[in-house]
This record gives sequence, structure tokens and C-alpha cells, in this order.
Amino acid sequence: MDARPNAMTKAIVVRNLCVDFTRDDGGRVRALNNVSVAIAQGEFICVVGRSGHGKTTLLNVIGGLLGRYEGEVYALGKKVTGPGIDRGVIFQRDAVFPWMRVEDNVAFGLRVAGIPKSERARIAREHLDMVGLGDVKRAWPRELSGGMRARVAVAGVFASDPPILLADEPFGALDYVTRRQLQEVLFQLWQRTQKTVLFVTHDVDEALRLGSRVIVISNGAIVEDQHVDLPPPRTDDDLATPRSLELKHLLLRHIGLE
Amino acid sequence: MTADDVSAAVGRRGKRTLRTRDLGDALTAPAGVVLFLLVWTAVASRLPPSRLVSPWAVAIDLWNNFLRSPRMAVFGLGETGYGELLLYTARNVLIGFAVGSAIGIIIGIASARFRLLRIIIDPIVLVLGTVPVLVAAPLFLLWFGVVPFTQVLLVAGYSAIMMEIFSQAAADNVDPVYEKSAMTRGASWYQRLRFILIPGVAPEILGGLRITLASAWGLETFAEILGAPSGIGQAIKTLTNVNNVAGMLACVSLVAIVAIAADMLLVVTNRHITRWA
Amino acid sequence: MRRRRERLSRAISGVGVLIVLVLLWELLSRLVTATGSYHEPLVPSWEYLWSNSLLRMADYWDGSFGIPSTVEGAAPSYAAALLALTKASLVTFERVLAGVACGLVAGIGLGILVSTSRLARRLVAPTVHILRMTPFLAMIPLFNLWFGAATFGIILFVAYGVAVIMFIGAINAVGNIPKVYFDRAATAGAGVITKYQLILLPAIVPELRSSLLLSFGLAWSLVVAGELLGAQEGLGVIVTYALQFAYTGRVMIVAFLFILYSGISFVIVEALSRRLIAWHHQGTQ
Repeated sequence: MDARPNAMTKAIVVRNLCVDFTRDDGGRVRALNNVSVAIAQGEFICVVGRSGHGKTTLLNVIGGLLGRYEGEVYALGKKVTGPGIDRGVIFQRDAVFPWMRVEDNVAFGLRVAGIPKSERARIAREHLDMVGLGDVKRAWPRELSGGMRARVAVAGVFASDPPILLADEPFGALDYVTRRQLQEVLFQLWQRTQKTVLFVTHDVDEALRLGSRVIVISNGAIVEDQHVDLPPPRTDDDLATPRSLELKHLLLRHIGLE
Repeated sequence: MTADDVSAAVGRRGKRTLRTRDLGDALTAPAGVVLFLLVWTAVASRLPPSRLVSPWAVAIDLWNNFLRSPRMAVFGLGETGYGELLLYTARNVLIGFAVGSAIGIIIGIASARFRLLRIIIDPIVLVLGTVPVLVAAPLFLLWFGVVPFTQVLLVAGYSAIMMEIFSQAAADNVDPVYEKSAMTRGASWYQRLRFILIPGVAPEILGGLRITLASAWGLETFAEILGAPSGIGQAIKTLTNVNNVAGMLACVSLVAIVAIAADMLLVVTNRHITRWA
Repeated sequence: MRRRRERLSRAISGVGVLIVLVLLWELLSRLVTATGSYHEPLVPSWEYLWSNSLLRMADYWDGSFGIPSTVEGAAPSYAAALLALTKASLVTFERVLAGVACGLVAGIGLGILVSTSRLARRLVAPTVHILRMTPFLAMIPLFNLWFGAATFGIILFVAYGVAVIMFIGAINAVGNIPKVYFDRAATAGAGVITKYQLILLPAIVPELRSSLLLSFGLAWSLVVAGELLGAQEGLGVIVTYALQFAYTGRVMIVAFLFILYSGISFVIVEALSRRLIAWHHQGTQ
């Protein structure tokens, strides 16, 4: 087992990561070019960038969902070779299992881990209450709105209690109001549990509202890495201060909108 | 999320109130059946009985010949009635369908996951489409003789091919995100099979089963007409030789009734199993 | 480019598998030496199929075009065999095409007509369900009784089966047209004829195509079944004659021909119909 000294204190360590894809016509595309980053435990990192520039690829590599990569990727000191229960993932697409009731969806990770039924039910109920879905725990996913299914996904991931949480644009498909509500839910859960969160988004406002640190990926490389010094909770007013706006303009410039 | 969202979700699970439109819809179904019988009777009244008889005459024939039918004895079937012959048919269909479908489903799902198997199976299935199953009927007769096995093999072969195609497509259509999600939550391959793949393919496979079973009845009857020791197909053949239209219609109606009943049973079962869809 | 390479490799492996099957069959023919009642091997080798079964197809040639029939005492020739098979194939083809054509028109026409009224649709539904669930193959003797066992009867039988499928397909297709298209037509002031011509008919083509491919396969099955159960002329009839003498080889040759014909015609119909739906996402697959 690789035991690198500074890797033990960091939640995620990425060193010289390169990822190539083969296109349909046979050409090779470099999705990530020599990316290196270290994420401390308990950080809420937002990864921003334009579509196709590599932020989801980075998340997939760390999550172990992308087998082939060059370089070194460590999560909690161990080399990443595949998906694992130490890195929970909230997917961009709706991954709530339609054939399981809400409470079974939330308890799935626990069931897989062999936790007895009564214990599972208790934990599931707890987390559903935390996201405000206590009333619909016996419902089928098809009966829920998109926003409620997103909450189920969040509850499910937190119920399994992974130390690291990877979120791949989880609220992108939701309307503005629901998105703001879910950001609030996720943020509160993070504060309560102090997990390490890697949150990929193309929404600059969302990144500034949630992240303690913001990284910008452009053309497969990290071009910006800033700490966000605003104390939580961040209201819209907080985001309108000159310093926040300066940061926002910086980010917008990097993603080409300014 | 508002209280409205939650109550809407909960409300969707409550009872639907009966609307006038629902009542109208419920009435048109039996009205449609009555219409069917009326049209049949009308057409039959204008044709000679050697061509078509009314549904009532068919029902009478059915009633008289269900348990014992001396007619059948003339052609070597014994004094069996339609009922016993139907039992033979139903037994063959169900055995062939069950065995064939099971094989087809397993191979179909496996071939979706294992590329090597797919490369081998796909061309075979393509060649052995549904038409060749029919042409195999006389071949099986030559090879295995006038025994139940010949028909069961035909139905089983057809079911296996159809369900392989459906199952492979169903497995391909399961959204990969579900399996990825399961992997990130630590599920083993067995757990992924049980909790993701099987529920995921269930709706499409159950739909395919319905389609396959519907055709299986015809295939079995056809094989029996070609050559069999018993069965409703043999009854039809016997009755054809004496131009007994009432009897022929009675037998065809019997097969139709059984096929419709079996289909309804499948629909109810499917609806329960996939009530989440 | 990758897709073309994939298709090529799939074609190669497909051919490879078929070659293996051919070899396995030959092996089986060596192992199973049992013969039927007229000394025909139950599992004929490829050599036998070529030199005996195919050649003896000449038996079914009636002796026109200057090539004498074996019934009159002439030796069997491949020319006669080929002519016999070609004539039989043409008869069978004619039945398939005519049956499909009639069934298409009847099924789609009636389907669109019934779709115009919600009440009509619901009243007709039980009848259609009964007709569809009554196994077509079980009705062959009835059709023989009503319409005879010749080409006319078989065409009608095929047309019936195709019509039922296309009827249901048409009703579903019309029902699935997004209402918003008609709303747009209405706001543009379109009349009924225009709506049918420019919206309804084009919009149902992709879904109808699926039903078409389905009923095309069904049509082949119905023709084969109809001919096997006592038609005159056509490929299936050769099988009926061959069965009486347990001529396994000849049955197999006809079986191969059926597979070949239905496969090729299916590919053609699929490719041709794809042109009609170039605008639809299905047409780009």
C-alpha cells in the first residue's frame, strides 16, 4: 500500500494526472493535461469550467469511474483504482433507482454493507428527515418531482457516510428555486458532517455560494485556484460585495464569459 | 420544496376519484364486445352455414363437444372432447414457453454483458429469426416423429429466440448510471445483478414475454395441424376434413379465449411486479 | 470511422460463426447416419444436399421452355431444378408482396379513419383485441375453407394479418402525435385536408415504420405457414411433397431459401423505409 506522508493529511491528492480519450473518428483527445491538486479534509471545493473542458473527467477519475489514467491519484492515502464506499457520488443524471421506494433507495448503501434492517430503517428515516422528505419515505420515485428525487440522492449519499463526497453538477437540471433550496440542504449537511466535498458546476454563482475554495479548469488544465474567504452562510448580499464581485469577474473571465 | 410538493406526491398515491369519463370508458368495453358479436351474427345470417355460423351456434357446438366428441374418434383421436385436446395444447405451450423463455432470457442478458458471447450469439439469432422457426416444423416432424416433443421443441425454440432478443435489448437499455451509482456504494457484482440489473430489465422482459406467449399459441396449433398425436390443432384439422364450420370456429374460439385469458393474467402479473414504473 | 470498423468486425465474426455452424452441420451429418423411410439421410451432408436434393428439385418442373420434365422420363438437370425453384419462389414472393400491400392499405386506411373519433376507437377496440389475440396460424384452415388454398386465399390471409398489425400501429401512431403540432396548424389557419396531408401523414411514418417491419416479418411467416398447410404452387408446397417421402434434404433447401429471401427482403425494406424518415432521429441510426 502506498503510504505517502503528506497524502495522509490530505483527503484527495492528484499529481500529474493525464487522461486521453479516443474520438469516434479515431483521433485522440487530451481531456486532462498534467493536473495536480491537493484537497484537505473537510474542504468544500467547487470545480468550475466550461462543458467539455475536463471537470467531470477529473471527478470521474477521483471517483474511480474512469479506469485509465496516467499520473497519481490518492484518496485518503490510498491509490484510486475503482469506485469505493469512501467516495460517495451524486450523479448529474437522475440515479435514483425507480424500482425501489424512497427509503430503500436511501438505505441501499447500508444494505450492501450488511447493516441489519431495523438499523437501516432508522438511519434512512433520519436522513430523509434531514432533507425534508420524511413524509414520502414509502413513495415510488416516479411519484416525486425532480427536486425531491435530487433530495433523495443527497440523503442516500449521506446515509452511507462516506468521508469524501463527489458531486457532478447535481442540481443542473432543476429550476432556479429548487436549485437554491438544494444548495442550502447540501451546505447544511456539509457543515454538520464536515465531509470533504468536491462539487463540479458550471454555475459560477453556485460555486461562490457553496465553496470554501474554487478551482477553474480550462482546456484540461487548472488555471485558477482561489480560496473564498467569505464566512458562511453566504447571502446574496455577501456575494455582492466588491471582493466577491472581483472573484466572480475573475472566474467569469476564465470561463470566457468576459 | 413546499408543502404542496409533498402533498401532491402523497396525493398521487391516494385513491382516484371516479369521473364520469371513467364510467363512460368502462361501458364502451363491453359495448364493443357486443358490437363484435352483433356484426358477426349479422354477417353470418347472410351467408350459408357452410361458410359461417353465428356466435350462438358456435357456443352450442362448444358446449356439446367440450367433454366428449364422437367426431374425433373418426380420425383416430378417440372420443375426446375439445377440452382434453385443449389441455394438450395448453400443456405444450406452457412447457415450451417456460423452458424456452428461461433459456432465452439468460442468454440474452449474458450476451449483453459479455462481448464474446454476444459475438457468437448475435449472428445465430439473426439467422434463426422467426420465419425459420416455422420451416423447422416439418423438419422436426421428420426427425422426431408425431410426438409432443416435436411441438414443444418448436415453441421452446421460438420462445428462446424471441426472449433472447428482448432480453439483450432490455439489458442494453438499463441506464449505466444506476450501476455506477451502485458501484460507488460498494455493491458487489452479485448485488448489482440482484438490485440493479434484474429490476432494470424487468419491464421490457415482461413485455416481451407477453408478445412471445401470444404467438406461441398459434405456433403450437400450427404444429399440431401439421402432425401431432392430439391437440386443438388436430381437432381443427379433423373438422376441416368434414367441412364442419361450426366446429372449426368453436376450436379457434377456444384457442382465442385461452390466449386472451393467459394474456390478461400476464398483464396483471406484470402490472404488479412493475408497479414502480 | 470507428463505427465502420465495428460494423466490419461484427460482419467478419458473423461470417465466422456461420462457417462454424456449416462445419458443425457436416460433422453432425457424418455422425447421424439414420435414414428416413425412403433412404434419405435424416441429416444430409452438404454434398448430398447439392448432388441429390438440389438436383432432384427438377422433379417439380413441369417441362416448359424446352427443358423436359422428369415426370416424362427425362434425367434430372440443374437447369430444371433452378427453373422449378425460381418459379416457386416467384409465386411465393408474389403472395408476400401482394399480401403486404393490401394489408398496409387496409390497415393504415382503417386505422386513420377510426382515429378520427374517440368513440369509434373505443368501440372497435375489443374487436381488434380479439382479432389480434386469435392466433393467425390457427385460422389457416378457416381461410382455406372460405377463400380456397390457392394464391388468392393466401394473399387474403397475409393481408388480414398485416392489416390487423398496421391497424393497431396506425391508431397508436396517430394517438402519439404531439397535440402541439395541430395547435400550430390551427393558429396558421390550416384546413382539415392540409392537416392530414402535411401533419398527420408525415408524423405517423416513423412509428408506422416499426409496425411495417414487424408485419413484413409476420407476412413471411404467414406465407410459409399457409403454403405448408396445403397450398398449390409455391415453395411451401415443395415441402409438403417432400414430407410425404421424408426427403429431409429438399425440406432443408426450401428452409434455406426462405431464410435467404426473408432476410434480404427485410434488409431492403428496412433500408428503403429509412429514406422516408430521414428527418427523424431513428433514421440516423
